[in-house]
Amino acid sequence: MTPLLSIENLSVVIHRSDPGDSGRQIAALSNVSLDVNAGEVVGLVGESGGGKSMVARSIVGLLPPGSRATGRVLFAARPGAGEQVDVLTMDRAALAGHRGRGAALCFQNPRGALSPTRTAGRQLTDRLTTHQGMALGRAREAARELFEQVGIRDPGRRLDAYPHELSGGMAQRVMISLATGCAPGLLIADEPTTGLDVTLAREILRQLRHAADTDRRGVLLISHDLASVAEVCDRVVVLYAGAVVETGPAGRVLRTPAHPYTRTLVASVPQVDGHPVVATPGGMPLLARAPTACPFAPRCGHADDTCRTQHPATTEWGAGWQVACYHPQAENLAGNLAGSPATQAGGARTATQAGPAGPRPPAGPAAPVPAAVPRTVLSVEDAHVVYRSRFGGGGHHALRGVSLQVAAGETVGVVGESGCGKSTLARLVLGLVRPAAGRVTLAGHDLSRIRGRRLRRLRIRAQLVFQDPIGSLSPRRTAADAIAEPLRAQGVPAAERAGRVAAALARMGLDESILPRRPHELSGGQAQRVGIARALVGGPDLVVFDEPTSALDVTVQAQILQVVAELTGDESRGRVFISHDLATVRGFCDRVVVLYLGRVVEEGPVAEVFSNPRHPYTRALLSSVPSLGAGFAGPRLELVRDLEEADAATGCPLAARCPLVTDRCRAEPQELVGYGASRAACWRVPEMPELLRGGGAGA
Amino acid sequence: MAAPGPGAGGGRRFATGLIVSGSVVLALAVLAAALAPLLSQWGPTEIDPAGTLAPPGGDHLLGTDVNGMDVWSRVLHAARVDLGIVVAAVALAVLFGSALGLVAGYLGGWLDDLLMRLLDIFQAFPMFIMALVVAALLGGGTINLVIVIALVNAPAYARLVRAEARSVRELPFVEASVTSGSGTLAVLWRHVLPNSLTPVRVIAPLNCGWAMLTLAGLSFLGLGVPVPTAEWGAMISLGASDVVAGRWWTSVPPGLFLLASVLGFSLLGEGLQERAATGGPASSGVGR
Amino acid sequence: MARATRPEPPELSRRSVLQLGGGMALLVATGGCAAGGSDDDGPDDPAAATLRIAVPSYPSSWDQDFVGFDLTALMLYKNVFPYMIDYGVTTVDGAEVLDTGTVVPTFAESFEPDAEQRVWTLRLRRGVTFASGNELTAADVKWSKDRAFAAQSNVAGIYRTIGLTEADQVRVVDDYTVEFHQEFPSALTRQIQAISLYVFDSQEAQAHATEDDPWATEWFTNNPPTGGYFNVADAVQGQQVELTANSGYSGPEPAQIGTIRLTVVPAAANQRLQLQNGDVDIALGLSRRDAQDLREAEGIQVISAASNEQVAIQMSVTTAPFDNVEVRRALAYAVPYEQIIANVYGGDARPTQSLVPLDMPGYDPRGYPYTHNPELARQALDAAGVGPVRAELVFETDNEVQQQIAVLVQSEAAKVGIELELTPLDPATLGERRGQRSIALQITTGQLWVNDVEYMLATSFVEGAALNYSNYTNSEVEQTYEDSHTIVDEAERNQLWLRVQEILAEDVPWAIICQPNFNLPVREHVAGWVQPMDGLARLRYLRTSA
Repeated sequence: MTPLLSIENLSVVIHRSDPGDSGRQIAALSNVSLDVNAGEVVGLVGESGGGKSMVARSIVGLLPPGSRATGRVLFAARPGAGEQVDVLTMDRAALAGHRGRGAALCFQNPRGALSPTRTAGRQLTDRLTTHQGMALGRAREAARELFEQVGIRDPGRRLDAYPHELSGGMAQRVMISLATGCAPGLLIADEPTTGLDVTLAREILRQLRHAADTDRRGVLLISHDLASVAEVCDRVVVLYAGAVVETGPAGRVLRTPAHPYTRTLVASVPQVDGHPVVATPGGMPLLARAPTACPFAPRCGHADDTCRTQHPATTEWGAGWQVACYHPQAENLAGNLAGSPATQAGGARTATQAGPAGPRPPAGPAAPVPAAVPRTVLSVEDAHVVYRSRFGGGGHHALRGVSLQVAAGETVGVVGESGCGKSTLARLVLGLVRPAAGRVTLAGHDLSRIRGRRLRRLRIRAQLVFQDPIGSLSPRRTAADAIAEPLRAQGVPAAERAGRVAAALARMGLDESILPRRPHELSGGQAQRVGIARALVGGPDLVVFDEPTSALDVTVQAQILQVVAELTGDESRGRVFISHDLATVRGFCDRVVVLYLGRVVEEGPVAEVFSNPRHPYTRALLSSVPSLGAGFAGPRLELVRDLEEADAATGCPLAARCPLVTDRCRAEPQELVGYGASRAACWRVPEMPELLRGGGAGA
Repeated sequence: MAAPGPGAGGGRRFATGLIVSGSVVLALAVLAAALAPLLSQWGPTEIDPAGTLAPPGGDHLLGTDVNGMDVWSRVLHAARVDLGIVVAAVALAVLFGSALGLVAGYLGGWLDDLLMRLLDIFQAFPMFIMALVVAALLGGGTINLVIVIALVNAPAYARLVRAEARSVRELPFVEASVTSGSGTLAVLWRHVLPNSLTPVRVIAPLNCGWAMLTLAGLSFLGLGVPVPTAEWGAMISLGASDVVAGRWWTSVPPGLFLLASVLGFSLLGEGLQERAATGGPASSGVGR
Repeated sequence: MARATRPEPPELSRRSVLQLGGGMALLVATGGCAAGGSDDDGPDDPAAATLRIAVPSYPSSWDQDFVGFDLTALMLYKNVFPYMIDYGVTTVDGAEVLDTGTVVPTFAESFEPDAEQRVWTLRLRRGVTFASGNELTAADVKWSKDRAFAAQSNVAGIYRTIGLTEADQVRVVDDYTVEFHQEFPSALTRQIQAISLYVFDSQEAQAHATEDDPWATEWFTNNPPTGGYFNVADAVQGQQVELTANSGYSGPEPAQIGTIRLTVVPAAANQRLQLQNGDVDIALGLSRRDAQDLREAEGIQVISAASNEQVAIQMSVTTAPFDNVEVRRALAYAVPYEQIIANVYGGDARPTQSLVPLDMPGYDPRGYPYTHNPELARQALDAAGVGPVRAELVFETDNEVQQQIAVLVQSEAAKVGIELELTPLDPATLGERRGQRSIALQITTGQLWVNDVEYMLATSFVEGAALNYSNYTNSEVEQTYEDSHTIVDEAERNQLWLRVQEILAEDVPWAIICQPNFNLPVREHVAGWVQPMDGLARLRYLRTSA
């Protein structure tokens, strides 16, 4: 049976004329070949610049201006029915028919891809009437059905909602329904779960699987989330620098990768079960033309002269498994860490500090307290934060009674999904937001007592590392300026400033050549290191990391995580690490706090919480995290519905979604109660083991 | 379809072409202004006893006007007045307007409301009426002219910069600066201001062109520079009625110079706008 | 009317008169053009005899007693009101001008004084009728002047100068005889009466009078008078006025032309084009430069005549530094008289040597001994001892001639050490500042309507005179003025005037520049123009030549 989609030797070259380099050209794709069959989910993985999006665009004929494509993109209008048409040679009329009907693209930013001035239902019916020639009434009916199919609650109402009235998850579902609405043969999903909560992401992936299994569509899933790809896809294609390096069955390729790059990728992903993250130095190059040698050779620990002079041909490695490498590796990843040349290429630092990269040996069931009593750098007591609307009406109760202690030398992880209040907590702790009730004490100073200039002086005691590394640097200022700013604000004289900046740089492993560069000249990893240097230069007592790696590529994430891990050894200050990704937090935190809708639902030593979660929410989180390794060992729990804002009003915030809910849960607000080494806010904890074995909802 | 789309390269070349041609025209005008005394043998207000309204030729390259003054000399010296006043006025408008807009945009709240309502009131008056009123109150004279034109143009910059500042203040690096402990003034000066000026850079040259026309209009109405200073608008006003009699040299040359200068400013402004639209450094696309 | 200090050069009805005259809604020239051009008789048809005249504005009112300073209206009045007496005609330099020296009866039969020249008797012609059919009798004259006194109109104002202050000084003797009993004899009587003796149709008036409006002001404002040399056949508000010769006039020299159509054309450029195209025959409202340009034009002749219009710079003797007579002298020596006459007027102006106009009885060239002499100017300035002088020179905005003069004066004055800042003012501000008497130097142009030095002093040189912008007073001049009221002997008067001119030459409150000639561009076939020394054209002399 002919594949639905056959890409043969596709190469795309883009000509760009920037003011600086006239006529620069980039080889976005080099001789890429892949197939997608009907009923199959194929994953396309790689990092930024690898060419994933370009493949998607080629399939729908949306190449950017100034680009030239060679090769063939063959599409079968009716699956299995022989005749294939080359998308690259289609004229405008044919393309109009092909797009949406033949292949539908589901974009990355759901709300951004929906037109803000048309209702969701309208946008769907537009497609139905255009592509399937339906009458309006019939189209509306069909739209309603589609919404229901993707799991949108109350579909009738949602048909008339505008995109800004939809939550992120809802918007993504609408996106998918738009894409499937035209009954396309091929569905291309471009990073559909980026920025979504874990539980929601799972749901979306399930929809995609459903589309393939039940509707017999072909699905091309583009993602950098390797764990998700491993669970959902049948096959996977790995791209590096615009070329295919490995193709094969998804589970096997991602669990026992053969190509060194794939191995690097896999090793860079933090695991919930605590396997150490291995950082590989260097970055992906942007090639100007098709590679004449192996593009990964400069970073590869196994590379030899052949690799550096000749481009490797694709060889068979197993059933349906191809590798483009002269030295594919057969050993398992997990066992061979310290000896793997990739890590040795990273320098001595990685090897000797394997300790911080792995789980900290807990000093005991209690919180890890070294011999001497460390000072408390941060103390949050029962803080409530309410954001008032400017126009009256109710406020948004972002934090409800959160308490937190951080001691010097300690790293506390804060996890939670969107809307849980993590960002608000970060700002509270830094003094950027005032609590409506409760107290925040930073380095012994009560923040509510201090204003104006004294508050400014105090700012240096707590610093923030941002989520968007390049965005957090002023576009017109050099890196040197940025790092020196905290010192300048405190009035440190220029000579001393220069010295301290240099010291901070050295600590980050950055070269002095970074100093005169502007943010757009830095890579994501470099920019984030600059951000961390800036945070450290003033010698703060507390450093808050607000999702510092979520905007970075996988391998770069690993590098930054390594940097952060190194910092955890510093006894003189405390750290708060905020993330939505449990796996990341596992790596180097001492304690973890789980937030849900502005409340702390569980906190405790990280090993304890991860291996034996008490609160149902924590368990649900751990259950839904996709994993390349073993994943969460233990009974799983799944929440029954999507997150809705109003849930937090009374009683347990999880009441609307918890499968173990009772009336008491709905009526009584839950307080944190100690259970063993951790504390959880759920009265059913003692019954949990039975509930999970028997009646409670399972995975 | 697989062919390259409408070239981004073409757009940039066009923009550069505009900028260059505008700059060339303006450079010529500035040159004329700077070298005026060298390029003309008569002074700008020197009366030739030989006669008024003499046609071009002989002693006078472009003839004389109704007062007996040499038109060529006046046209060149007028460049100083026009360019000088206009550039000074626009610079003042940018300074004043941007400062206002920056403060309003960044601080927001009641201050923002108050300032914007004041600007609303100010802008409710048609520009020429405002100019007439201010000219009547402050009197004539070059300094007052500069102030009038600056006042009339400042609100636009205030709004532009305010809009930019409002969006810039939400950007992470501003928050980063605040958490680093910088005071409001430092944040404004180092981070918000430099990133809020992009539209100003583009609008300012265009504004110079409009300001020149405003100045010409004011002079035409008799509210501009003092008689008999050479200024293009005043010259046109004086010589307009001569055209009916067939005497073109008293009003057409200053008209052409005015046209050329405004054109130069417009080309420059349009070029900058094109360049901003077809992508500066911020619009590079292909992955990080 | 008092001395007409016009805001503009001598020509009648210049566009800027609009600023003073009426706030009338003026339609665009096309209306007038269409009206004017629609039945174009052409110059070759003298029998049909219609003259088309372009005027810059529509008369603001038909009531001469209460009109403002509206030159178009005033000119019309001269031709549609029956004036009992008017000036004669004489020839100066080949051009016909109105002669203030001879006043002749027109609608009246005679107007003679008694021996003491205190009682003047006006005898009317018989059979003169208004358009209504009513005969013009002494009762009409009496009613008209009663009206003037009762409402303190313009006429009442100037009657004071000849000693008429009460209505009962005007007595009806019989149906055709009226006597004027002045308090004292005056040399100005004939001229003043020539301006003032216009008569309303009193029976018609009384038919339209009401209790609130006993003098029928409303009726007269909106309805043209009748009985003059011309009757108003048709008047379209804001557009045109059509006059037809009054066949009911039985006196000497009736109107020479059958129909005159005046069309309102506000813009001088349009008037010029219409004149060039032959759409109008006379354009009242062109600038001096237009007239000069049109000398060359085909089919057009420019009538040129000596005029008593004076152009001067009045210096405020109460404002420093011009309170110092040496400074005034310095400026007087600095003004480039010949250059102004050459450049600004193209040579078409007469230099003058006295503040008294040329052609006025009593003129003496010793009255202003200053010529353009920078050396003497500097000496005078040194003698003044005030250091370099700075002052503003005020003139009318939008007045090209005054601006040219100002520029020339500024240029020359700078060379002797007087820095002048040129300040054009709009009419409102100019009027205001003139009222406050706060202008140091100003350029003025204007004509005197009564050709007598006594009148000149009354309007311009005695303390508090309406047009005395220089705030000049001199006790001897005041005394002389008082004395002249009652002296009627010409030789005696001229002696007084000589003394006055000597004083003015010493005090030099004005720098008198020149007397520009009167220029009027008309089509070639227009003949019979008589230059009016009061600037108000007498249309009855006009005719077309073949």
